[in-house]
Amino acid sequence: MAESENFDNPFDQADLVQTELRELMEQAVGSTLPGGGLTPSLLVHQVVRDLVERRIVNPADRAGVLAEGAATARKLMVERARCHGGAQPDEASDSCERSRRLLDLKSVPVDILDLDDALEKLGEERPDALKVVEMRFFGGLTFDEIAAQLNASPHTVDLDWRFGRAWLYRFLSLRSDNAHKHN
Amino acid sequence: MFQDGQLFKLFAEGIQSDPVVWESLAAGLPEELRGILRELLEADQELSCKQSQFLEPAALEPALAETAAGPQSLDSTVARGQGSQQVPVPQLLGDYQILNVIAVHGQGIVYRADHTRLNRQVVIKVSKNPLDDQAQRVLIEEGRSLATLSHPNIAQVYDLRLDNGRPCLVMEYIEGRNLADWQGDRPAPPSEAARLVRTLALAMQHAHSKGIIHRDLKPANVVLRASDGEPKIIDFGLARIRTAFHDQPEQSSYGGTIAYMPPEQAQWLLARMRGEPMDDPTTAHTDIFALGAILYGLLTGHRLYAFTNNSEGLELAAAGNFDTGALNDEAIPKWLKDICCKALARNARERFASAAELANSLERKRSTQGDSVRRRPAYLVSARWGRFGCVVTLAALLLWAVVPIGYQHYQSRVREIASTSPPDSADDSQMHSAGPAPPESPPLSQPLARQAARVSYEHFGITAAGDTTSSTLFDNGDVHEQDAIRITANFPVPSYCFLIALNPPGSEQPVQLCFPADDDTVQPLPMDRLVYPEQSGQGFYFSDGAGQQIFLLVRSKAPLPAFRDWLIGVGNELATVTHQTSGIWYWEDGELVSRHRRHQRGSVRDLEGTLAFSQLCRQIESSSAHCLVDAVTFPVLPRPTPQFP
Repeated sequence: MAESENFDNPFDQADLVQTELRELMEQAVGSTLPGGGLTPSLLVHQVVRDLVERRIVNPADRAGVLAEGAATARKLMVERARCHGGAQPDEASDSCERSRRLLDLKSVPVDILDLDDALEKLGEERPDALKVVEMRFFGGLTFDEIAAQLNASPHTVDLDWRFGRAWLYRFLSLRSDNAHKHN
Repeated sequence: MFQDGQLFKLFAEGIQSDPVVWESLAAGLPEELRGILRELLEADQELSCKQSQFLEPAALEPALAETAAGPQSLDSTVARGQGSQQVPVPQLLGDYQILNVIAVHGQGIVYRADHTRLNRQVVIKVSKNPLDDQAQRVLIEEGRSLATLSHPNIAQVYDLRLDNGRPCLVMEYIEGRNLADWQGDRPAPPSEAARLVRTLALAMQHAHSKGIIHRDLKPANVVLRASDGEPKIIDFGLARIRTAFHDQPEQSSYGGTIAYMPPEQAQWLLARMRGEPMDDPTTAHTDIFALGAILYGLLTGHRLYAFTNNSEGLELAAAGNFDTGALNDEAIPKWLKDICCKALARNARERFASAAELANSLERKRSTQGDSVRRRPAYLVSARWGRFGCVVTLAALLLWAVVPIGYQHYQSRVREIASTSPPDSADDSQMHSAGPAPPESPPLSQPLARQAARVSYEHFGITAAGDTTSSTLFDNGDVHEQDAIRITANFPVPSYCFLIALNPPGSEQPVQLCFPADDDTVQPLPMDRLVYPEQSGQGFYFSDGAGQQIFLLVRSKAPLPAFRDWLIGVGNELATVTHQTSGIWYWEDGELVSRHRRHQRGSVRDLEGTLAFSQLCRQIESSSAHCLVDAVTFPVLPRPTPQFP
């Protein structure tokens, strides 16, 4: 593809990026997520790097695409978990699929569906915190990149990050405690 | 569930507020909201303290990082830093080469760094958050003010930079240990306490004369320099800008600690919590009270107030009621108690008029009334000396005096300094332990086991051609006048030590203390390693003529007293040792070792000549339950007359 063709047409580029991201990430998620190894942020970075190298994405837009990729990654992972894991994760037959959807949130294994649910609730409480966590965890953006994307100060982004993290930690801990009680 | 954004707003206030202030603010909230908030703040604290990587994105592989973020910037480093172990360290910050992370606070990171051109180590505090214009102005104003401070007992501020609006404060790096860690929870000898507080008071006077108040003077902000024990006050005057670097309330400029807080300050803080307007009462008297509180802590071994939570502590501080009875210990001279109480007067006007007046009182009284405390030998002040000194028990003295100490006897008395030293000398965690105090003087019958130090002696000789050679002692021939030696000792456990040169009889200075620098210094911190002379390429020159030379390295895991006090304990007899050997002999691991064993060369003909040497080493080790000796003796020969062809 010609450089100008892609870079000068943001709408086409956005569509293309979405499609490319989805396609590449479908492959990546399918091949790597079970058992871990490739975490969402790495996955998104890999995809975006590929797009930049193929000159589909302007390097100057990289952060924006990463942010977009973060949301796509989350969506794909959840879709995939729902399709393959079913809606009843506690069924014994699902144990294999359940293990496939476990994300290692750095020594805190969490079900992607639980995390997604927690993120939804966080979004109701503080939408900006949700965006920060999504961009940071799923997209691997730096705080400055996030600040630029949200047009916020790094200080506010830091507060949102800490709030989001603490909120999710508490939410997931409570859920985990309840699950243990029921078991 | 709650009002829009209320939870986030309260959380943000909570993480930026002093816990005492926050507890007070939160008291009026509905119980459910307060409970959730507390859990969120605890979660935040836990995630921060544990350096948790929860939800942190994976570390990007180099190839990805390259495309992603470019070279590591200070921004990303600071933004990501939550724990010293996992904080990515930028390589350069202006002219400073970052060496490592010293500490991570909620609002910033503290680095140790090297100035690339000046070869000077510094501490750099980098704020995590950019400051707004107003805060930047305050910061610059405060930085200018701090830069005017120049005092040997105040850590120097070198530079103040702004990196994308983030303040970076560059300060003097002091290798040492803070006073709080050093002291632990036991009292210091009154003379040492008085000397230390006098030094601090003089430093404070310097600052006060420049119109600068510390506002947060406490033992944790006093670093005892490792090399000589000199106290240095750190974080000087940073209270006004501290919020940029630490987790302090934005709205409050007060960063003091309750145990060192004068009543008027506590009352002010309480009034603020109640929402009552009150002028900031901070004056030089605030620091004078803190000096009194430090003195009180040093003398009694505990803080002014005992409290279980900050609210209770604040009430106690506001009332200014502390236990004066703790100062009635007979080991504390009355004049020192009076000075301490005056500095801690509830009414600021009744305190010393200035820090200089406090310092002068300490000096005047000490010199007229209290010097005897300082000069008392270690074994006469054993009740207090145990924390700082090498306790010499009566039993040990008797043993030394009446028991013939033969080699067999020594061998049967295997030593273990690790198991008998007071725990305060071991490490910080033990320093802070609240367990019962160990016996100050372990019985000598207790088995002791040695751990040998590795001591090496580098000999700098001069060849006939005038060139300097460097080799292990005696590997390159005999030692001659005007040659030099450099000694390196690696200790098996952090140790306090003396390095003593016993120069040839007739020398101007037969007993020469090489380390520490003077015989009045109490080494504040144990060391892993001693290098003498410290400077690379320098040596101890044999300029006292030919004769037998001894180097004694006395080490102990327990703190040693000042050399002159220690000398009284060992009988002041070091200078009287006379012996003659033709080769080099070591005292290692509790026994005499010839150079034959150490260097595959040597002679047993010297054995008789070494008796005085080995007896000396044994006597020193016997004089204290904790001391071990590594020593070397060898002859220094006259420099050969140059032979011209």
